[in-house]
This record gives sequence, structure tokens and C-alpha cells, in this order.
Amino acid sequence: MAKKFFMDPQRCIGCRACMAACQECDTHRGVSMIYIDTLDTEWSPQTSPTVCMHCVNPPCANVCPADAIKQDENGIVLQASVDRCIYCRNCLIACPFGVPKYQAKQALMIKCDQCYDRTSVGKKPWCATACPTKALDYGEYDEIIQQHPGSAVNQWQFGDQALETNVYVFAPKETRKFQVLQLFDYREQAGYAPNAGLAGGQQEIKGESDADVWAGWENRDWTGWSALQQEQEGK
Amino acid sequence: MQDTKPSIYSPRQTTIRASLIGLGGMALLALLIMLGSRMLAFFDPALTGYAIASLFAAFAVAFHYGTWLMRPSTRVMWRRSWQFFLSWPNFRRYFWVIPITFVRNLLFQSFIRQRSTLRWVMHQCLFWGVMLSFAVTFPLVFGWLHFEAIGTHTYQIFIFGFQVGQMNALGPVGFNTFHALDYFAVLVIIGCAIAYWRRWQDRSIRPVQRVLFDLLPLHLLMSISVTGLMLTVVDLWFDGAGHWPITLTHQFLVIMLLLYLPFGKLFHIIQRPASLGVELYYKIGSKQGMKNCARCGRPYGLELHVEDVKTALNGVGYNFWLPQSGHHWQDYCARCKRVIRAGAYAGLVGRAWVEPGGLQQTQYAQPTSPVSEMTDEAKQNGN
Repeated sequence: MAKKFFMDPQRCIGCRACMAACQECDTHRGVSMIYIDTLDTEWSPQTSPTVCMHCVNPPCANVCPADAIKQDENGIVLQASVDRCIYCRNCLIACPFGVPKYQAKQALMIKCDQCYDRTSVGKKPWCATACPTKALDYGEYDEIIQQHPGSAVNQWQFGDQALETNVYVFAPKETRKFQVLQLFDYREQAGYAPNAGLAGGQQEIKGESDADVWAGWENRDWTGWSALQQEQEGK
Repeated sequence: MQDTKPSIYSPRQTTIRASLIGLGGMALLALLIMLGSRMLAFFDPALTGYAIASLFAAFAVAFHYGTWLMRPSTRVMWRRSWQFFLSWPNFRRYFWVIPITFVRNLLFQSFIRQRSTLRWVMHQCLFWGVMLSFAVTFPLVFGWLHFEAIGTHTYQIFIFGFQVGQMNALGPVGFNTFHALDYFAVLVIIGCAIAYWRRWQDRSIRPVQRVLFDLLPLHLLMSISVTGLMLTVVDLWFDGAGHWPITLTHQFLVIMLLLYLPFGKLFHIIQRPASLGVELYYKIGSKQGMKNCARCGRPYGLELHVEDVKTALNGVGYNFWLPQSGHHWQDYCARCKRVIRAGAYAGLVGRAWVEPGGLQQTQYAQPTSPVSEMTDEAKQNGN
């Protein structure tokens, strides 16, 4: 059986070692494909890691008009192939986990492909290697579930839409499925209503803010374009 | 569980439709060959092998293009692009978007330069070498371009059977015309050499390259260029020794390339112009308004784009409508999707997870292996 990736967000201590490790990779130098999000820093120091969940039937690949996103034989959803990606950004909107990143200058989508170079020779992905608390882990299913309490869940429910992922997330024992709809009453359960947006102290991540994402569009240097437009508007 | 991979057409329907499109492409090329060569009057029989391979390639390219356009997401993008392109107000206002993007992104590929300069030089060499070679060889093979000797030194040039001029076969124009493919071959060889160098020593490419997808087209381009140059060399300096074996090898390799074109890496040559539509799409879409995240209120995409992606998602059988919130899951920006999911997780495991000190209070959140309960085995493993 192929090795699997596991996340245990309860163990995340927000050290961002995974992000640093991810940035080391030669295929996407200096850019992390992992996200560490704070829920709300005024309320809790808790952080939540997000890697690509590698959906069994990935929405990103299905909405890609260029057919650039492929799955390998182990179900790993590879990042957009550079020769095909036409930078339409459909995958960014479609991804239910908010994973793909758009590199505006390079006109390219990038996302986690579970360190193909390392996993293909039997090593753990960089992030799982670097994580000091095993919040991110990789290995044989039977071995890993021994090391974590609760059950490893890879079923998700968004409204009526069910999704199965190749990445497992640890949850309390009775959990069979993550109901993302719980987000709408979790305030009562968690006894707290978080602030929306950045007000709650969510940090800006370099290269990921909207200004960065859209920079390629707004700042694109259209030779003679603005002059021509002014001229036409003048008429 | 998920249903099987959804599609608007059944595989059988897709195959039938795409086959029809493929046959159409093949018939169109055959017709153009007949017309361009004046009912084969100017057709060069020595190039028949190339012409037949081109017909097969035309079928396969049109077939692949057809299946590609039948993807729901491609259809949405394709229709929207043409709708924008064919609208008269847009045409007037955004007239320059297409030509400028064409020159920048398709001819000079400025975005590849942002990825790596060496890669850009490599790609430019290959692009111009291959495209210009195609521009010379296809018209020759199809009989669209044709030379006829008048006397000993003069050639008459025919394009599509129309006489367009004469040239001195021994003059500089004639020399350069007959050796154009040699120049392009040198360009391709330079490009291939850089590509081999990168694939040999660049750690970002080496682990992910695949033999059939990445290396085979390189080997093909390189060997085609080398055999093509060898033809010139043996003809000029070795009295044509070994001309026929080299010609046959060259022809075999080119036919391999033509048959590889529709399926492998080189299909991006045919697919890439779709990015022109994307450019127009974003230019016009950004004027129509940005979409603000339903949670944090910050713009994260074009309103038009988000709606189109929802349509495309429905087309492939997804429905991310969340009745409880009155929003689509796609109405949230990427970061809010992650934070909301983390919030849902918090709701699942209880406030223990998110409140400092709470971890010890709940049964679930016990440390994995408390020291008191640690087994000998766990101690040995260091857990």
C-alpha cells in the first residue's frame, strides 16, 4: 500500500519549520506551498497547517481548461504542467481547501505535489521531515495511526458535496467525516466568534496577499496601451 | 463517496464527436493540399511520406483538440473568450490586447523569462527553429510552395500555384533560401543543447522529468536537426555519400515527431494560443468588477471568473452550494477557506484545541504518549 500523508492540526505549534523546509526545494525556490494560518491571534495562539489534500477526484484538475493538472498513479495531484498552464486561475477559485498559488510574474500555478523527488525514493516530504511535533506526518497508514489518538479521516462534506482526499486528518475517535458546515455553528461550540478578515490578526503572507497575486495583472506593462486608451476615450 | 468522474458527454459520445472533428481536420488538410498543389500537379512525390504522416497528425490533432474543447471548463472559457472577442464594443476598446499578447506571450514568451533566463533562451531557440522549419517544410510537402527551373540559373517561385516571382538560384537569395532549414536546424540544436544541459544539471528539473514526455521530444528534435544538417554536409562535401540512408532516417524521425505532436508535450504548441483568450478575459473581466470574499470582504478574483468557475464545477458534477450560509464555498477567498476549515475543526474537537491550557482538560487531547503510560517499546522508539 502506498504511503500516505497525515495532518494532526492539534499538534501544530506554529513554528513554520514546514514552510521553511518547503521553500528550500529547487522546483519552487523561496516560495512555500504550505500554509500556516492563525485562526485569530487575539483569541488563541493556535495555528492550522494546510497542505494540498490531494483529492481523489480533484476539483482543480476538473476545472482546468488546459488539462494541465494531472494525478499520478498514487493519486497525488501534481502541480500544473508548465507547458500547459494558461494561467486562467480556475484552480485557485475551485480548490475547496484554498491551496493553489499563482505566481503572477511567471504566469504559473504552483501547488504541493508531495515532494515527488523525495517520496519516489522512499523519503518523507520535506515538511513532514521538518515538522517537530508530527502535526505533518507521512508513512504507512497502519504505523502512523498507532502514533496518534483519534481516527484518521479523509472524508469531507461541503454542503451536499462530498469529497475524499488522499491526505488524512486526525479527529476525535467517533468522527467519520469532516462537516465543513459545522463552521457555521462552531462559534457556539467553541464558545467564541472570531473576527472576520485581518482584523483578528491573521498575518499577511508574503507573495500571497491580493496585492501580490494581482500584481501581474495590474502592473503589466502594456506597451502603448494606456496612451491608446486615453486617445480613444478623448474621442 | 464520489461518483465516477463526471462528464457532460459519455466517453463513447466524446470519442464519436472527436473522431468526426478529427476527420474534418484531416479532410480540410487534404482539400488544401489538393487545391494548393493544383490537383497534385505541383506535388513532390518524394515527400509523400511526410504528407501522409501530416494527414494522420491532422486527424489526431483535431481529435485531441475536440476532446479538449469538450471539457466543461474549457467550453466555458472558450465560449466566453469568443463572445468577448466577437463583440464590437470590446473589439474597439480592446483591439490591441490580442496582438500585444500574441507578440509578448506567444512569440517572445516573456513569462518564461521570468521563470529562468536560460530556459527562455532555450525555449526561444527551439520555438523559432521549429516554427520557421514548419513554415518552410509544410508548404513544400503540401505542394503549396513550388520551384520550377527556367534555364540553368533561374527558379520560378509558385505559391498555391500562383507564380509570385523569380530568383537567381546561385545568388545570395537563392543560397539562403535553400539553406534556410540548415540555419533553423542550428537554432534547434543550440536550444536542444541548452535543454540537455539543464536537464542534466538543474536540480529543479531532474527529479520530475519523464522519459516519454520530456526527453523523447528533445531526442527527436535533436536527431532530426542533426540528420537534416548531415544531408547538407554529405551533399556539399562528400558527393552525396550516404544520402539515401540519411534521408530515410530523417524522414522516419520527422514522421515520428508528427505522430508524437498530438499526444505528447508538443501539443502545447497547438494549445497555447488559448492563453490569448485568457488575457482578454481578464482584461474585460477586471473592468466588470472584482469579487469580494463573503467572509473577509476583500477582493480575491473577478466576479465573472468566480461565476464561470461555479458553472464549470457544476458541469463536472460538483455542487459546493452551502445552504446554511447562503453562499457557495467558492464565494470565500483562499485564506478564508482555510481559516473556516480550521474553525470547523475547532468546532469538532472543542474549544480545548484553541484555548491555551485546554489541551490537558479534554479526554481526546491527551498528549499522545504520556510519560507515565509510555510503553517500553515507545521509549525505545523515542516516541
